[in-house]
Amino acid sequence: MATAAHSLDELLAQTERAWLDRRDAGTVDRLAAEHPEHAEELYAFFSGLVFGDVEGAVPGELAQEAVERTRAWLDEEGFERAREAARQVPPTFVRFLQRRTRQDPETIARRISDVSWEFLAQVSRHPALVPRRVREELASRIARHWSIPAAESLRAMASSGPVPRAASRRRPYPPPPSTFEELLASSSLTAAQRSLWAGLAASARA
Amino acid sequence: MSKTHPDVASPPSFDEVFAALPPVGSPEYLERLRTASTQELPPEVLARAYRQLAGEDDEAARATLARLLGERKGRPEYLGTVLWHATRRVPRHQHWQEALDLFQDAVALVIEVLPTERGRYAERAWRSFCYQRLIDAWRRRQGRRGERAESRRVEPAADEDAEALDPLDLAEDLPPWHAAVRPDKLPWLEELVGRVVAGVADPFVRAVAEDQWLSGDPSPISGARTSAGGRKPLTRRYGKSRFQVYRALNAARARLFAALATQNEVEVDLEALRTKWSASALE
Repeated sequence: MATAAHSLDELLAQTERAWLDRRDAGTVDRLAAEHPEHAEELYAFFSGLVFGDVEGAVPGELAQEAVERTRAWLDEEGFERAREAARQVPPTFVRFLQRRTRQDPETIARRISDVSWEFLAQVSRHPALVPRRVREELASRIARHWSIPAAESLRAMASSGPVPRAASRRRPYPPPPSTFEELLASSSLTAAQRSLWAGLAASARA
Repeated sequence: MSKTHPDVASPPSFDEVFAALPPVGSPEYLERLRTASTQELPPEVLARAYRQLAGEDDEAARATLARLLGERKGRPEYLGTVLWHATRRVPRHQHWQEALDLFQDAVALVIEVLPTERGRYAERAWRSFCYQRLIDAWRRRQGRRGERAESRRVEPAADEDAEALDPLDLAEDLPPWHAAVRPDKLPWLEELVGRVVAGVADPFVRAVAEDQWLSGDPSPISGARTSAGGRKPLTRRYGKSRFQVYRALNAARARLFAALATQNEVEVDLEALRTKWSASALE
């Protein structure tokens, strides 16, 4: 049974992927039977998947007007509302770095040295796994290169959490790490770099 | 008559498509946004790119959003199902502007929610993410269960002048799929219809489909008349609005169409059927 706060989100997503990826229509019956409280919405959504995205599904004039209204609305206020909505989302550590340095990820990683962008992204996603000594070292290096106060970097790391995946990623993401060592292993670091950060973490624990 | 099964998409590889993008924000990325086809740029991939860019790179974020919410050949490129649903949420006798307003509200909510944690769903299932935003927008307008919309709908009274009957009150006089297969395949088709209807898990959707397709004496949808055999309109029998009956009928049609589209036993003119059904039953 779906008990999570976003359970209908999940059921609709399953229905969509089943139909679009596998032409599996039985999934909507199964999910509706398992979750009768959502049956009506599931079938209504499914009808849109089947009928809603073909030419002629809505009158051409209506479609054209929808397109024109959306374009005008985006120009008049939509883009600004989008920018504002994005600002409401707490910044992640990597976003903080990009915003403050105005440099691309590879350059940031190279200047900090001994890190990869994947490592910084993992720190951003899983700050609770990163020992304080490691965070302080990162903040110190950032302060040295860009004159960003270490306290600001530490705050950005502390407020980070799950972040969207990087567009430059070349393969699907593995399961999230559960320890700092696993985080290092999944960060595309050289052996020497892994050893450096693992040593720093160990010295803090000692 | 041609066998026109819709193309079955390859398994999704949004990660691969995403990884193959030029670095987001680069000139090459912007060029890809301008030139790639709908198939080359799934909305889930654009949503993921946008979520990464939002709040970071205004120009690239704006270009990504413009593509995601933009048009192709005079229709919303990635929002076609949202517009379709919007038209089905607004009664026919109301002006189209109300459907457009609802569509616009849904687009605004897409923008609002996309950068948040809940926006993750858009990276995996764009249509369901957008559908949820449409429902949110509709509830804001109509009340959580559509109370305000329901209260505005006036069902014809029993003694209403029969000559003024709305054609949409009537039952389907002939199940439309009969034109989609050869006459000698009708027994096969009717067996399939029975099987599909029996498998529908929503009792109301199933009841409407049984009445309209299997009873041999389909009820009027609404209004004052009864069927040839004296069956009352579905609105009265089930205490539902005409709007709700049509939604149920649409759902049943979609489920049957899906079954016809995925079988390999008989040639079916699917496109004709889909064209008829996708554009019909507008309230």
